[in-house]
Amino acid sequence: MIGKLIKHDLIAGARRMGNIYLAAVIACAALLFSSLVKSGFLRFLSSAAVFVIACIAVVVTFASVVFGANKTLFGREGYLTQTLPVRTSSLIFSKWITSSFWVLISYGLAAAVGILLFVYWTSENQDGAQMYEIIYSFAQSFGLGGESVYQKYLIVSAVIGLFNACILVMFIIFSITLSNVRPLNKLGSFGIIIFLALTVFAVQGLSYGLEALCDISLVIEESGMSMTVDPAAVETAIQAGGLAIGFTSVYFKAVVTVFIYIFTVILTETKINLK
Amino acid sequence: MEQQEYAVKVRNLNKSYIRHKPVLTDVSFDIPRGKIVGLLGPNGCGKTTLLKILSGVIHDYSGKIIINGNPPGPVTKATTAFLPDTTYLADYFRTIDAIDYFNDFFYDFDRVKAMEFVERFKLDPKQKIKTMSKGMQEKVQLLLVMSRAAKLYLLDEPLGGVDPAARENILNIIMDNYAEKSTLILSTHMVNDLEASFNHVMILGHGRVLVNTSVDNVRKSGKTLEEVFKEVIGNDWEID
Repeated sequence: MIGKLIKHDLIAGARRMGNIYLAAVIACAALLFSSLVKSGFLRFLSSAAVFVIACIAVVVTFASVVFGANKTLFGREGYLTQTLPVRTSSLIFSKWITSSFWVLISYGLAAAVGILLFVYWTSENQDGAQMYEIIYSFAQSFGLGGESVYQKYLIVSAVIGLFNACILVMFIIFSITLSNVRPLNKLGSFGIIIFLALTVFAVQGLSYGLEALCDISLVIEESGMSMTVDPAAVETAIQAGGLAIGFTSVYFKAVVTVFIYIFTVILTETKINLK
Repeated sequence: MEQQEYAVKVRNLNKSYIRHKPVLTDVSFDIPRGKIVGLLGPNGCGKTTLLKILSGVIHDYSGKIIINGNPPGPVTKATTAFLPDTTYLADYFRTIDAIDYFNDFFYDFDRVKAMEFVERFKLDPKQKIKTMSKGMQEKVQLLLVMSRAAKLYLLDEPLGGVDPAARENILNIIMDNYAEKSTLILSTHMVNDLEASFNHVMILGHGRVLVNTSVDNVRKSGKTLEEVFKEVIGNDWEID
């Protein structure tokens, strides 16, 4: 059943957001076409269009995640989803997975558009390659790590970024659920924003506090990556050209998200009334 | 033994939306299996709330509910077909999408029967729900529910807001198509129109079950259903 829920939620998402992604594809095609016709005006116009559409796609995706989850779980469409012969945990999980998928797609689109525009505008006179060399030399002159260290750092940072996006989606679903519980539902849609802000601030604040108590770090060196709780080891690795990424908040947010997911399921099963 | 006798058992059910204003107060009743139950009562007496609780879309109540031997949950939802009094299908759905959706999730859904309904109702399977009239949307929702071979049907005001000609047609569709040996609970205000169709009646009023008996018992008392209704509801009926 969970597979069917995910399938239908993905279809619903595609129907809600398909147009904006189609527009992005068309704008990208126009951008590539403009490089063939060598028109400066068309180059500028298509670049601006791609950039604006990518920004809109991210905003529309988040808005769609919020309104879609609210409508399908607790709005009139809830009469369909909440009478399906599936567990509430499956319903919430499906919303989480599919909403995260669309958010990641929007991030991917934004990143792809950024790279595309960078390559597009720097390819003709190889500005891009020069810029890369300058940044790399600049980093080297400060005694920072080698190329492979930066590559690993970028990959780990990207994975953490995606992880944070998935966590944010769970926080959004939790906030939507909370805003439908009596008497908190009197706040309406405004409640979603309040609860989301409170949740994010609380979790972020607690993770900073935890980092001060126990700072788990991922140390990235030429030779590989390792986890450590020893600040001296981190210092030594950085002096040797390595980089470190704090992991305390990652672990903490993972644990908190599991609890928030369970709490969301319990709230839905015990406190929610469909209007 | 209990599971075989009763489709629905409710004990000490309490529900309120606003504090100190209960909709249902210590409601207890049993509904035998295989009955067509008329759920009657004035506006605001808790009919819709009761059906929503039985269907599993209202969760914050107190009391015990058993539907075909199980508390409300995935097991009961698999065998309960609920027709709410609101349009719940997504705007982007076409009739065919809704049919495929039900076919995916409900093992008791008969796709062939649903397509026959589509023809009978003269619906375009590829027309989007958002472009349909309210009447057409209601037909789509009715065909989805009546294409299931459920053990329990919960129909909330299926005849409300329907003209008299269509009312008879819809009533016939419901009576001809609900699964054999299943239980059908139908909430309505139209006591006269439906008296002949029911074989069990439950009247709610003031948040309580005022009458829960077979229609035969009502007839034995020498009264019509409407007379019993007026007698137990009193002034509320006139206001309504």
